[in-house]
Amino acid sequence: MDDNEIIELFFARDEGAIQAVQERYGAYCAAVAQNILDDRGAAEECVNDTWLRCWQSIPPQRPRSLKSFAGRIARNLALSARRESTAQKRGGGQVQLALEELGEVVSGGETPEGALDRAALLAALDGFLALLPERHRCLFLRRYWYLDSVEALAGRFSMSRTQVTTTLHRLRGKLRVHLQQEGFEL
Amino acid sequence: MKDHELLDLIGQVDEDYVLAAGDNVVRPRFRWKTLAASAACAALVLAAWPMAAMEAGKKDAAPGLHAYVVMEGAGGAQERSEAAPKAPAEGAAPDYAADGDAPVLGAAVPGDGGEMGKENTAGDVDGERYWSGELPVQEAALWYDALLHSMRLEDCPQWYGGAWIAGDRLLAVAVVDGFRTPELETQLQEAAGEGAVLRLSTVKYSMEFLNGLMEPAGRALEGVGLSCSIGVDVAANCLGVDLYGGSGTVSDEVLVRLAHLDPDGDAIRVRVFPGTISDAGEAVKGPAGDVPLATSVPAGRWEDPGEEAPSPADTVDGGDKLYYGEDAPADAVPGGAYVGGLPKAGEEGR
Repeated sequence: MDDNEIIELFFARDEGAIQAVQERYGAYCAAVAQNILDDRGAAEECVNDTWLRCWQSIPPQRPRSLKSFAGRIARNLALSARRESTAQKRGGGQVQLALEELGEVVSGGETPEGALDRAALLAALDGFLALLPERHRCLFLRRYWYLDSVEALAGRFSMSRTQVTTTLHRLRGKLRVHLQQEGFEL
Repeated sequence: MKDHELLDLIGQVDEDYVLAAGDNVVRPRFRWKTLAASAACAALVLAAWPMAAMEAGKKDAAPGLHAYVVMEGAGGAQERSEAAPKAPAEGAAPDYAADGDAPVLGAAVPGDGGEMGKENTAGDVDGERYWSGELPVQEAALWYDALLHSMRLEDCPQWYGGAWIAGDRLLAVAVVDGFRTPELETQLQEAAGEGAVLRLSTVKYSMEFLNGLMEPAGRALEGVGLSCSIGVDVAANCLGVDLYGGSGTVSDEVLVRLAHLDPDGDAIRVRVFPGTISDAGEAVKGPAGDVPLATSVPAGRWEDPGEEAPSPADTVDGGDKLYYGEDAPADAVPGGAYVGGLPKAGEEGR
């Protein structure tokens, strides 16, 4: 069953849609959540919530890619779960590390409401990614979207840990410069 | 802006990028250019290394200037005649000084065979004229002729270092070092014929090599400004280069060329006979007076028995010995004489 057929099931409010999307993208979403949560039970819970969110969002939304749509939901849910967890117990995990790294890009200060046009910022981010070579773009997203560990990236991209760390550092620097050139005071 | 806000924002980037990053493992690009450049560099290094090593070796081994001997001293010919040694008796140890003027490839040289200074007569073997003083020499010529044809010496086989009539009933045959085997000795004996008396010796250079040196040596002497005589001295196992006229010096340029042809310094023997050359270019005049003629027999033949034959030079300059081949002392110029000490490149001997 392809994405369109599954989406049609959602639109038809056929509960078989959840079974279908789980079969098709269950492993993918579980991997995304597992990366963020480091806890299999919490990740499974997160994935189950993902199907529920999909049921609630489709319709009215009609995603272009069901995989990306479900993965993004799983990521957001996992991040939320992570934040709740770290609010009680600080430290650890790829999320914390990623946040620390991204702290180099942003100032961390309070921004007046509406000062940052999130849509414009998102477009600038997309523009930045578009400028990167495919390999660097994938590396960046594997780290900050999928929240892969440096070790996992080194294995995936056949690089040393040092190379991964150095490349990511340069990419963050480029992102900061790019956003500043786009007029964002971060 | 907070870091988690940026992290959330990253979560909303273009899904195509996200899917691309999620689907495939992007391996590092195979850098053909880098590989090709590395391979080219490696090839250059590999190719250049032996050449550089060879060049370095050449520089180390390059003798710089070829040595030569200045044949000085008036009246040398007279002394030579008086001091001429006896030819070796049959079965006696070879005397290379006496062999110095031995005939080459069947050619006869005046004064060869028997006691020096004896009146020579001509022989005729198979249509070839041989200079001989006694019948036994003619007999040796017959042995030589048999050897020449049986062993195809005119083709200069690799083992062949030369052959010459060495004296009474004695034919000398030189075999290049490394080729002398009992089988070859037997073959030579059989080829020379029954009753032939051969004296075999081991030499460094083959006849083919020495013959091959002649042309480049001639080219190396271009512009030397002296009359030249070049020929293979079989008995001395070297190429004899005799230069006539001038002040007794040879330009460094020529010596460098000769040194390149003869890195070991023993394949080419250079002798300079100072003095002036007559217009005819034949008579040697000047301070050298009776300058000795070339003691070796350059590749040519001495065929006219009617012409007055020069005597072989065994001493020069008041008794200085000429040395040949194995008889030469370790520090002597191979195949040549040294006068007043061994000449050194770039120093007084030049």
